[in-house]
This record gives sequence, C-alpha cells and structure tokens, in this order.
Amino acid sequence: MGITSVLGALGMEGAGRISCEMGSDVALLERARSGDEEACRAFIARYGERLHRIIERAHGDLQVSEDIVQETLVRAMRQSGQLREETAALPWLVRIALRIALDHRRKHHRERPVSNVPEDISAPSASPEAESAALELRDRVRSALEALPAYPRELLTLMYFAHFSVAELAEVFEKSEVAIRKDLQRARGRLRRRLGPLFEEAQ
Amino acid sequence: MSEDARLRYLLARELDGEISALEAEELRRGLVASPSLRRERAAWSRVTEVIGAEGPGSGSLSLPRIEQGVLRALRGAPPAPARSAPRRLRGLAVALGAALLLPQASSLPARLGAPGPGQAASDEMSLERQGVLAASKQKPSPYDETERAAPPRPSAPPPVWVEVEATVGSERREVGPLAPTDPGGEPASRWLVAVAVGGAARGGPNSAGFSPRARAVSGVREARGSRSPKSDRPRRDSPNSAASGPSEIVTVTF
Repeated sequence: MGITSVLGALGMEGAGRISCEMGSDVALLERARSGDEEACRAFIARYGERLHRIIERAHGDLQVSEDIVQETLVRAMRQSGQLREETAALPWLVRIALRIALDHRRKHHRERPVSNVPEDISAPSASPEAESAALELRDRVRSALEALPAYPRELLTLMYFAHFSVAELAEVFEKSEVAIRKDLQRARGRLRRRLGPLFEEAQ
Repeated sequence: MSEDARLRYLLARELDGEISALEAEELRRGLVASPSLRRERAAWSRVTEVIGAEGPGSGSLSLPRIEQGVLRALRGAPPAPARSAPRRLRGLAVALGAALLLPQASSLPARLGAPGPGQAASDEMSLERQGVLAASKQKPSPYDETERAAPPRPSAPPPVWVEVEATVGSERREVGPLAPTDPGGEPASRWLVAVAVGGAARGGPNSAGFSPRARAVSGVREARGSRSPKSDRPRRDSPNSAASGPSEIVTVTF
C-alpha cells in the first residue's frame, strides 16, 4: 500500500496524469512560490482534496480542517525548499498539516475533536438486522477511535483511512520505521481495549 | 517462538500492510488451526473497514476558496526570497514601496509637474518597485532625460518639499527634505520608492554601510550638479519653507 493505492482508494486516479502534465511537485512548488498562479492552482488541485479528506479524519474537526488545509498549502509553498524530488509530497504535506492541527488544538485547549465520522458509511445490507449491526459497529468504532489521544488516532487514521505505509508514517512523524511499528501495535492495543466487547465476541 | 506468537506476529505484519505473500500463506494455514485468532483477524478486518470508509462529509472542500486564500496569502509574501535579506524586511519593503508609490505616483507628480504614472515614468517606476535604487545608477535613465527635456510649465504649482524620515529598528534617520521641482532634481515619488524598496532590499539596519540619508543626499547632489543639497534645502521650521511652498513629511519605517 502506498500513495498509488491512496489515489485509487480516494478516487484520485487522475492525479498521476496531472502530475505528468504539470511537472514534478518540487518544480510546481518552486513555480508557485515565485508567483506562478497556474502552478499554485495545479498544486492545490493535485493535493488539496486528498489532504482535506485525511485531515478531516485525523483531526476530526470539520469546521477547521479547511483552514488547516489552506494554511498547510501556504506553508508548503513558502517552505518548498524542504521537499526533495525523491520525497513523496503527500506525507510531507500531512506532516505540516498535523503540526498546524496540533497548534490549533493547543490554542483552543481541545484534545477531543468534534465528531466527524460519516453517518452513512454502512454498505447496503441484505436485512434490517444486518444494517443495524453495521450501524452499531460503526458507532462503537467511532467512539473508540475518537476517545484515543491524538497521536494513536492519527496513526490509525493514516494507516487505515489514507492507507499510508509504515515508511510514509515514519516520514510524517519523523520516526524510524521500527518505532512506527511499535506505535502502531500500541495504538491497535488501545483501540482493541476500547472495543473490548467486539473482540471478546471474537474470542 | 511459539506457534501462537508467530501467528500474532504475522497478523501484526498484515495489519501493518507489510506482510509478504509467503507470510500471508503461512498465516492463512495457521489460522485454520486457531479459531480465536481467526475471529480476532475478522474483527480487525471489520474495524479497519469502518475506519477506512468514505463518508458524505469527505470531499466537501471548496477548492476555489482554498485557492483564493492561498493566493492571497502568497501575494502578501515575497515572491522570490533573497537568502541574505530577512523575509520580514523584504515583505515590508514591498508593502512600503506599494504604499508609497501609489499615492505619490498619482498625486505628487501631477502637483509637482512631473509625468504621471501612465507616461514615460512607468517603466522606471516599475524598476524601482523591484528594488533598483536610482542612486546606484551611473548613467542617467531615459526617465531623467524625459524629465530634463520637458519644457517648464508656466502654470506649475508651487513646489512641495517632501521630508522623509526613515526609522530602522529603534534608530530614526532623516532622509529628506527633497525638492522634486528643483530644476534637474528627482521626482519625489521616485525617491520615496527608492528609499523604501532599495533600503529594505539592502538589509536595513544590518546592511554594511547602508544609510537612507546618505543615498538620498548623494542622489540629489548628483542631480543638482555641484550644489550642496544641505545648503540649499529649506528647513521645515525656517521661513524658506513657507516661501518654497507646502511641506510634506513621510516617515519610512524599516
């Protein structure tokens, strides 16, 4: 799993084509920084929506996620020298965005995000009972995930929603892959404890 | 490593998205003999599916709004950084240049008999907006020639003395006064922009040898030939200033 699968999962398969037409991320950012509005728009079109979906889930506050995305893109264009050609832009952008989100949480003294898990994620079910069970599962997972502190919540969201690889998570959180694997294990353990009955049923 | 521990390790590898094909096959075979781990794997599958599900709230981003916001923010920032100059000063220089240029370009030249912004001065003004200091030029610019070649206007308004004070950090430096209507002199708007943009572009107080006053005075002296600007210029509180016309004081802060 990696950026390519993220594109597919988020319905952004066309982004690769755009990338080829408009040049590399580094080149686009450099042009945007020097005042090229077309390059700026192209970069926003390439990453804005994906970044928004990820931040919306990881941060959990629908009201401020758009502001975070905007601030992230501005900072990215101002700090374009930090992005190397061989570095994937999305983890780099997510890293910037999570820092902004952290600042926002500190500023507003809020650890718990506003609930943002979508309401209609349940797949069409064969029966009302199955649909009810799917809704109950969604509510339980939602509550358990939201109850986690920011870091494990972001880890799990980036892993299972954005489909980041361990290497990409290491890039985002500036840790080693070994440390990320341990942290993922711990985060799953915390989530599992909060979802206790669900896993007890599995025993 | 026991069989159960090995299977749990493989399950963790799978949940990390790093399991290889061989390991996946080993896990599949091991789960057949471990119903509890099989159920746990199924539970994780459902949980990760819920976390990964898309929802109606997703994708509600207004790209045009984001674009506008980003472009607006970037316009306020320096377009191309010169690594030696502090970014804050460069940004301030652009803002100051624009703030000083626009009102001066539209009002002062007209009052002083200088060409307006739409005339031959426009190219020169554009250069100065980019931080090109007129005083550093060795040859007179076409704008200067245009100015000198222009016949004196009989109905020219009284001269306006423009005094410029530049504040760099806590230090205040007097730049002016400048006499734009003096024959052979420089239009005040040019000087204001040159001082504002050129001064900050040179690094403000940290720049070696930079002095807005020195540059302004030397520029006027050059324009006037051998006359000393200090001896000619009227003081704000002197009777000469009243005789020479109204006075404007512009403070430039770096």
